[in-house]
Amino acid sequence: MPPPTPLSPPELSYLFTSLSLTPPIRPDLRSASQFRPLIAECSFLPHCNGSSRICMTEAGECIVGIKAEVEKDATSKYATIIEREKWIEVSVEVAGGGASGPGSGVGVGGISGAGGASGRDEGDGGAAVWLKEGLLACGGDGWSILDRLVISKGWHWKLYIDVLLLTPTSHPSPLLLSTAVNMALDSTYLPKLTSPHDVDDIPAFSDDWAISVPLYEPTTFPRPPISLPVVAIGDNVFLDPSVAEVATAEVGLVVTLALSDADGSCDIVGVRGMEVGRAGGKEGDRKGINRKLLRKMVTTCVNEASEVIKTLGETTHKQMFRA
Amino acid sequence: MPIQIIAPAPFLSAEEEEEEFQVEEDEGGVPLDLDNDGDTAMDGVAASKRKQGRQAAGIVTPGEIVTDDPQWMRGHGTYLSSPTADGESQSIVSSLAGTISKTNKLLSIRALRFRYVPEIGDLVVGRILEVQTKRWRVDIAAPHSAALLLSSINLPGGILRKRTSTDELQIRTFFSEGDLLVAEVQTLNSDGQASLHTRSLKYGKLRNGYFMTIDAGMVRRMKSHVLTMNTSNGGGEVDIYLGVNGYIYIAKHTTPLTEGGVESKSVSITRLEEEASEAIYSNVNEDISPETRAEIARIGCVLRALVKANVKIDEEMLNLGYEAALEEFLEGFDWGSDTEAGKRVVDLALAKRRMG
Repeated sequence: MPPPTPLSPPELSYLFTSLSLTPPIRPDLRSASQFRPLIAECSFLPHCNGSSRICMTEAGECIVGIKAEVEKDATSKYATIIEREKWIEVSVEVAGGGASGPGSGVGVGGISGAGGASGRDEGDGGAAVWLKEGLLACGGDGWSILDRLVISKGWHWKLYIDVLLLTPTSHPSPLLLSTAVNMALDSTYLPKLTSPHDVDDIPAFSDDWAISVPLYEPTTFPRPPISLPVVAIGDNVFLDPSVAEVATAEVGLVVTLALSDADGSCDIVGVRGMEVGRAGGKEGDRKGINRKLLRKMVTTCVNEASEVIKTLGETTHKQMFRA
Repeated sequence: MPIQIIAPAPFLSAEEEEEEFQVEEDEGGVPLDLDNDGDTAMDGVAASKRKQGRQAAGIVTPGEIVTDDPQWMRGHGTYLSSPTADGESQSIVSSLAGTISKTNKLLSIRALRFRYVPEIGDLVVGRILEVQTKRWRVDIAAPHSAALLLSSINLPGGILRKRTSTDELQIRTFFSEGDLLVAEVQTLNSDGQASLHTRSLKYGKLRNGYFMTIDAGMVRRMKSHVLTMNTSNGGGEVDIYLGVNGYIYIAKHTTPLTEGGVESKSVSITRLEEEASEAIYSNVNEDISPETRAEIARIGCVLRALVKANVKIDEEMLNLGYEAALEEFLEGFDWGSDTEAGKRVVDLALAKRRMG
């Protein structure tokens, strides 16, 4: 995949000035906190526990399938944190982009700090790392997704989350990947356990899908996390930036959030830096980032996220129970 | 509502699909909708269902057998399958994803989406991909990148000047990677690779505006592809470069430098040419008022809405679309948050065109 061609200096300066006006003029006339519409559906892959498909303009199309496998705990008595983290495996693959596995999806979503040397050492790279990170960090008060994966004494579910980007020439936004994973997780159901919890024997499950157990209870919290890309240009903060806006931006963050209660308040699960362009204006005009601006970026995300997560959740449930 | 989530088009149910298969069976492959005398046999109910469903029939994919009936001749977008040992007739196979079109006994496939095929004389907007010693490689959304020779641009210091080695050394001062330019297709070589030229003051580097892309084929060929539009809301005049290749540049209108401003009286002709030519390659935008920027963005949105509604773009359509957008704007709608807005604008514009 060739790297995207840089914008020309007049283009950058035009965008930079337009976007740093008050109020800013985005090229598609969106307001600063407006997201682009997306097409979404879930639980359509027949052999997966949960699946989703998201299409976004510019960012392309993405399919996520989640499969669960019964696995014996590696250590009989106490599973260590490192071992427990292996219960979830995320892989991001670009269609036609060659081999999957370690190092795949490096740089997808343009998130810096992921997919570097440390990412590769863990056996996976790029987008997969921050997707998993958000998933594991999600939930306060000792709640963890890993606890939901425990089946019985000595047995747990191993979750495979496979993300496939269908449009290799597009510029996948972190929003595309995280909404797809969010929806897939929300639509994931695991078979109900019929054998007793406290026995070491091989667990037995009911084969009736009507009584299967959702991975994330639809009415309880936290909900699956979502990552929102946000960029700042001048003093303005933009959610869901387009490729041109990312190229113009001075600073970009990917804020991972999870809904923590029914009122719509959100927990910040993680913040990562996002690779942005060289910024408009001349070399000397660049201001650098001040604390106020960073704070504004994160609060904008927190304010908007609840609405986004709720809308996504509603769409998922509507599609899950349409039959 | 900060985000809008659209449910996808519904799948056809299994029964409906079965129904279609029964119709097709005697064709030995993809539905051709033909009876034996070659007429199109369209079943009213099935046709309407196809339009709604995602698996619209009539669309073939690469490798799909279109027909094994020997009465058909293969046209563009198809090939003959390899001959079978038992002497059976070869079948026509699609090599594109698209719709079947028939001219008498000739079967061809019209692609759903295609890249721009350059033709001599086309006005194109391009982006520099690479700088070489005596030429540039330009992305014009065609299968091959185009070439722009150093000898086919306007060199500073007189329009018609022989290029020198100094120019070769300074090649990056004219165009460097990422720069946008408007040019004309001068020649085509045997592979269909285009060679561009900018030897007119109409062509050259693009500044003062916003670049966007649409599908190639959505721009109708017109007499002139550079439109100047009088915008309202204090936007002033805006130039629109509608590249035939689907690359579009919308910029603030600037008076061509050679026509001269106030200074033209005090400066001799040769001096003027020199200044003008150097300014052609400047990378600095003029001052553009926020009003103009808003109108440029509005025109961009109109173009996107038209393309989304599958309406080909020409001068008339663009003007009508812009008018419609302004009327809707007066009623106080917000383009960014209302996804139906684009559709309303297009409908209004189409209604206007019908009224004449």
